[in-house]
Amino acid sequence: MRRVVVTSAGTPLGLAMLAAMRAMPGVEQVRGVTSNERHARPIGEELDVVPYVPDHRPFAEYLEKESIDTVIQCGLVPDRSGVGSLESEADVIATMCLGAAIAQPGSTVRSWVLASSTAVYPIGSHSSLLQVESQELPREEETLAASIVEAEAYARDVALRLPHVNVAILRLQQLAGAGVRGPLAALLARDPVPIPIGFDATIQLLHLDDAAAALAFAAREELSGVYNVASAGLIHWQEAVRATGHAGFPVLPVGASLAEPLLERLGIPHIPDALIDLLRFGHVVDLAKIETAGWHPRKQQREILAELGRESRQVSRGASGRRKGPFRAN
Amino acid sequence: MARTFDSDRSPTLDRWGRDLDRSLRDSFFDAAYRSWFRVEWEGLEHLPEESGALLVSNHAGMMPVDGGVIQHGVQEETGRLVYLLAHHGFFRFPFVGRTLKRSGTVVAHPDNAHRLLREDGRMVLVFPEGEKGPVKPKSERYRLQRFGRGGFIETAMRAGVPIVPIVLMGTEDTTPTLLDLEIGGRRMPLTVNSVLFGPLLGAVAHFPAKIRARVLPPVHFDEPPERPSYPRSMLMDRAESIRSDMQDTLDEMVSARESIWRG
Repeated sequence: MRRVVVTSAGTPLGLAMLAAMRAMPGVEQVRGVTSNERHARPIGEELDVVPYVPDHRPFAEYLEKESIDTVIQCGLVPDRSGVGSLESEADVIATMCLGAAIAQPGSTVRSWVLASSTAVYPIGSHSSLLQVESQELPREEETLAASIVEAEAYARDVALRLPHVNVAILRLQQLAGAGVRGPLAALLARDPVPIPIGFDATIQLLHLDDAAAALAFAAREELSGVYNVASAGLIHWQEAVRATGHAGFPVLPVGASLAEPLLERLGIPHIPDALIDLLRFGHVVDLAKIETAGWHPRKQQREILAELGRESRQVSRGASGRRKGPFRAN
Repeated sequence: MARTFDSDRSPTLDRWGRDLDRSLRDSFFDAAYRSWFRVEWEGLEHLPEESGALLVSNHAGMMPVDGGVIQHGVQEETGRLVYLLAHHGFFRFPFVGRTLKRSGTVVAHPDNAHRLLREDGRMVLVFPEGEKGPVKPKSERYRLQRFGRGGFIETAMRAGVPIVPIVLMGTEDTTPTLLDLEIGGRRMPLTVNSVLFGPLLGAVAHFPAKIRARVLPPVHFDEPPERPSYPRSMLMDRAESIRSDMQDTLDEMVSARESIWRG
């Protein structure tokens, strides 16, 4: 019988993981942990407050006391846990501390699942259509991708040092669904949605339910290695806009840069700097490896987008009591 | 694997962004194909009916029409789609990249080529001469340039598909070279078209040279697919062998030709 702890359990992904693991047969106990007292009581949950940064020892003691055999780390990349922006750095220090706790002599952990991010993959005209786990990653410094690579490398070191611990790194695509919007979904939730003139990139989203299911699968099967995770299919940007039911608005294919705050305030459609390359060149990952391992996504891209469109229109109507006019971001 | 990516395709776009419906663009090019260049084919029976194959062709003429001729021609004559690999730089430009994708041009990346050939079972066209073909000096007219380091052989081997050479005669005569210029260390032929029509219009105003296309028998490989690497010297030997056969064929076609305009 498994005994599981989910870190950053107060995030949308963390909460979804708690539910997914509790529904899984063969799981005796599921605990949600946060290192921040302020996040200890999300709706319907009571989380354990156990600091692990910068000192891993309290968490190591917690793991041993609760006889935890499975750690699911949800807060490595903020926007992939349903909070934060695309520019947020990966939490490398937390990963190192969790790894140190897992490596303690009295630890009973035999499975560590990290929710990582597809942001490690390059975005550009030179990229292949489907990016794979085994491809060489560009070496860049002081970028989000670099911090994710560093965290993943640390986790892989732990796997090498502790052969009895299965370390699974799941690179999650941008989140959407169940009220969660990653940066790409947030853009698609707007009405109208900006469409870069002259481009029609291929994109891919991951529904929160699929994300939780994939992480739960990795925990249950005690997977080892790196796996891409996304919902089924891929879709071109203009078709994605149509699928939300929102209007599209052509904009110059450049990031909003310094004008972004002003454009945002005025409700003028624009493309944030962080997303301009993605909307010009696309960003899709190959799921062959995790599908071969036995996991298959349930949600389709159009389904996610239709849900996103409905949710955003409901929010828009609910906020004002009446339908908002055009050029207002949700 | 393929089924996961089938489900969300737009009704007319495949996963590579190709528009599977006929469009005005196709109609316009069809008029040029049939009436201006009067393209004729031989050896179409050498093209596989269903499975993947790497098509290799000679590459000549400024703003070459060879890619379009082969893509359009094979689709018209056999019903099969041909995908073209192009340098990623083209995809950086608004409208250019999107138009290329819609017409079945894909970023030249080994992974893309492999998926097209092996997973999708498509025919993929490459020009092993690369940019050397269109900018070759006047003295090299009708001479195939070196076929690189044989990367295309490795692509075909790894995907487990045959190579089907296609020799085109007439494409270099659509934009004949008047003078060999060098600008900034790069060869830049001055064509008759650009002298007559100016640099911009001259790039697209091709003379109505008759184009003939001959498909040669496929070249199959015994080496097992999906190997991480293949011996470099073998790749270069095979590449040179294919180039040599294509050169012999082009020489024969040129000497049998009555005129550039009538073929």
